[in-house]
Amino acid sequence: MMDTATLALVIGGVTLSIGLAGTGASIGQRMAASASSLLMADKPERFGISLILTVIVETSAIYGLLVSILILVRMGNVTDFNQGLAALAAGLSVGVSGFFTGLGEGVAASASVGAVAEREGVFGRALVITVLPETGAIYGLLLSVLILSGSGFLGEVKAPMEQMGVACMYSAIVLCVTSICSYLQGRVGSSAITATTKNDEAFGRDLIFVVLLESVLIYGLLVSILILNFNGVI
Amino acid sequence: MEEHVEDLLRALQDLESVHLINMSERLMKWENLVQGMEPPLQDLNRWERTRTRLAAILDDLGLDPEPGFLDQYIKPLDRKPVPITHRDEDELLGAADEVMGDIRRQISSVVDRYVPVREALAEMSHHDFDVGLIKPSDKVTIFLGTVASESIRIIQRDLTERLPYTRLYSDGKGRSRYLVVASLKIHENEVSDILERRGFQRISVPEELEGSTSSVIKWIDTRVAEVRDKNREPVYKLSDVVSGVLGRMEAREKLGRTGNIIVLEGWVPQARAQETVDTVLGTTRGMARVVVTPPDEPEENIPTLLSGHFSSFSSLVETYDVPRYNEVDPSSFMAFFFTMFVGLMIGDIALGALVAAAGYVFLRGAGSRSRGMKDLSKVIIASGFSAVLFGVLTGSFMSGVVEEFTDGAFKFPVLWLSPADDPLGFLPIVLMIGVFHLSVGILLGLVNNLMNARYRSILGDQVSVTLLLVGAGVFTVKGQFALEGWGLVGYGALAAGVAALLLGHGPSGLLELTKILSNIISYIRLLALNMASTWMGRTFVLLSAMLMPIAYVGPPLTIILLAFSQFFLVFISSFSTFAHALRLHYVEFFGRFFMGGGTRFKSLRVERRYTYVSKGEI
Repeated sequence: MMDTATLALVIGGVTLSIGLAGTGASIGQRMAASASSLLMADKPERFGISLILTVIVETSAIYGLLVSILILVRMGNVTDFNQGLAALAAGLSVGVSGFFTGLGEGVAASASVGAVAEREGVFGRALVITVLPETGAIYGLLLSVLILSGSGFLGEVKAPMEQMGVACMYSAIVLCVTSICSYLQGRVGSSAITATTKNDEAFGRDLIFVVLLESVLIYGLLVSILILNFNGVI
Repeated sequence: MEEHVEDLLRALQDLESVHLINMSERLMKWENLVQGMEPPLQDLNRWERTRTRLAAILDDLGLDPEPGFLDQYIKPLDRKPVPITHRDEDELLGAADEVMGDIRRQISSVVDRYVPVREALAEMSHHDFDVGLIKPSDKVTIFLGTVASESIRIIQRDLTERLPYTRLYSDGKGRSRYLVVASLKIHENEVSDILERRGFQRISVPEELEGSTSSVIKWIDTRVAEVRDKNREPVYKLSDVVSGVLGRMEAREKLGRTGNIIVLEGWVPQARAQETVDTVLGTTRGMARVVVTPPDEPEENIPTLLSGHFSSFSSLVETYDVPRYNEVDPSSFMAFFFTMFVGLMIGDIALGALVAAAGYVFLRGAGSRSRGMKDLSKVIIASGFSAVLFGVLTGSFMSGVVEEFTDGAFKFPVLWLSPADDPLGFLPIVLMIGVFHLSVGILLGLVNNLMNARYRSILGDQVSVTLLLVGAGVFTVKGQFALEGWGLVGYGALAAGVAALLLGHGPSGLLELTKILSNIISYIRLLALNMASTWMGRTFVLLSAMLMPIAYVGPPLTIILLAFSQFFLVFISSFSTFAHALRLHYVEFFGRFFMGGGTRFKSLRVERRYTYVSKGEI
């Protein structure tokens, strides 16, 4: 039986996971959906592709939902306060990264809807750029699963409990801070989509500019994994 | 000679092997001995008008209907191309106006006369009445037509106030409604005034229409189908013939001339050079001089024709950019790595099978409409099979549904490694895959630099990165196996790599150190997306297992949720995995060697939508 403080942390992890990721996805989806509904007045035949661009923004919320369910289903394994801390860290990791991803994808998706309104043939390229900010949410999910694996939710606890809890929390904080890249990537992505609409040949070079921002996120993930690894969590 | 040009261009359109060069841009090369050809504006306008008229005929007869959103992807094109010979083409070209005039007359006597009535009757078909009743008689006048929905109430008010013996009936959906007004003959003019003021569009009911609405609709459909079937072949043929004519006119603008002699210059794939020469000499009955030379142009002027064997993946390469002429074609490498990456990220037998099945449906549906979709469908099918293979290797079938519902009694064997259960074991594997992928890119970069004699770049682009990778590899191996004395080799390789970077690119070359690191780590997404897909699937399986014990509704709800989860995962996973596999190629892989900026090889050809050339009868 877990104490109230531990229960609060575990439920906190669930809440942050779906709450933050869902909020980011909703705000992002609002941007894409507004652009799509305006498009319907002029080009209703492009309903399908604008729906795809609007729905794709929801992915980060699904990742948040996934971690929430994993924590809830396996919360019976929790016996220690530090496992509660790990649950909070897992929720924070996927929640914050999902929040920024949702915003970034929303900005890029609304630019993509505008682009397909102008020229339907740009859809494939616009979709690739729209999905790029999702890297943040994917890494957030990866870190959450690694934290849950090393904290008794999805695997065994290998490190001492106190060390495990602190390491999980700080590894999540590192990724959360760097995941702002996803939002900024969406902003650059929207410019890249506009440029690609004007000139197909700009796509390859613009892609590089969008991806440049991601380096910081990748370093963040690397440091997060190293924190977990050096402390024996994974 | 001028008199052979039309036949020659037509033969080259059939051959589809020549990328024409615009001579007007190269007159200096010919020291103005050759003049540019004047565009035949008058003819061009005439055939453009013909194309517009044909498009209207196709539309009126419903010969090329726009498919619905889903239909365009899943429904195979039911229009079969008709055979055509060059003799047919000549006959149709000579009589194009006559043929179209005749078809237009048939349209106006059948389609224009009956179809508006048919549409009105179809809207009112829930009242099966005698159509003869809505025709005028000696004492009663009937008005049938369309009007804006907001005007109906006003018309009703006006009629009720001024003409009490008038009856009104409206039907239909949307902003424009069908309206039937019956009035005494003596009030015909007043009713007509009221209706016209409110924008009423009258539809006249032909005398010959008699009987119930359903039988009249059927009769009209039969008549329209007769006209459609009778004219299908000439309209299809004429559409493609006009398309060919316009293509040849466009091609003429690229030719040059000296008096009566026409000069044509173009690129042809080496393998088809002889066939093209034979065609030119045959078509002009030997009255041509053909010179075939190897490329002697600046590289950027030579068009690039990508691999024929992996053409489906070539379109993915071209989405990024067209490689230059003297550049490695990465299509075959992309075919291998792209399918591997998507397979690795989906990594499930059931999901892979669904992806392959979806690809097959697209191939039959959208693939029958567009060449691009045909290519994409083949890529989807290959990726689906790859996902099945990785599903077998990682022991994943429907995210462990069998294991869950048999309480672990039956488990798909893990032949290799399960990324979701052993992420840390899989992490070095995806990083090694990344290093291998990048190494292939570095090798292709070396080939590109050698082919383009850019020897200085080899030091900064390939030697440096290879030395850095070797240095990092040595430290990894040393750490794993505690090897004595290897540290010196590792430091030496890293130092030499840094020196090569500085020599090749100057101080800015040091940025490569962070680039190569982020490039390698970026391949972690292969593991992350696999885990995302697997854990999402497992969560659905867990939820399904919770539903199972519920009395009566449990088992069917479980099956519904499991089926839904698979389609949901295919939808979500497919977009993400395809986009991220593309990204790993466009950013990490192509970044190591791709120069781009080439021109796509575009052969002179007719975009045949409705016909194919019956070669035996040319």
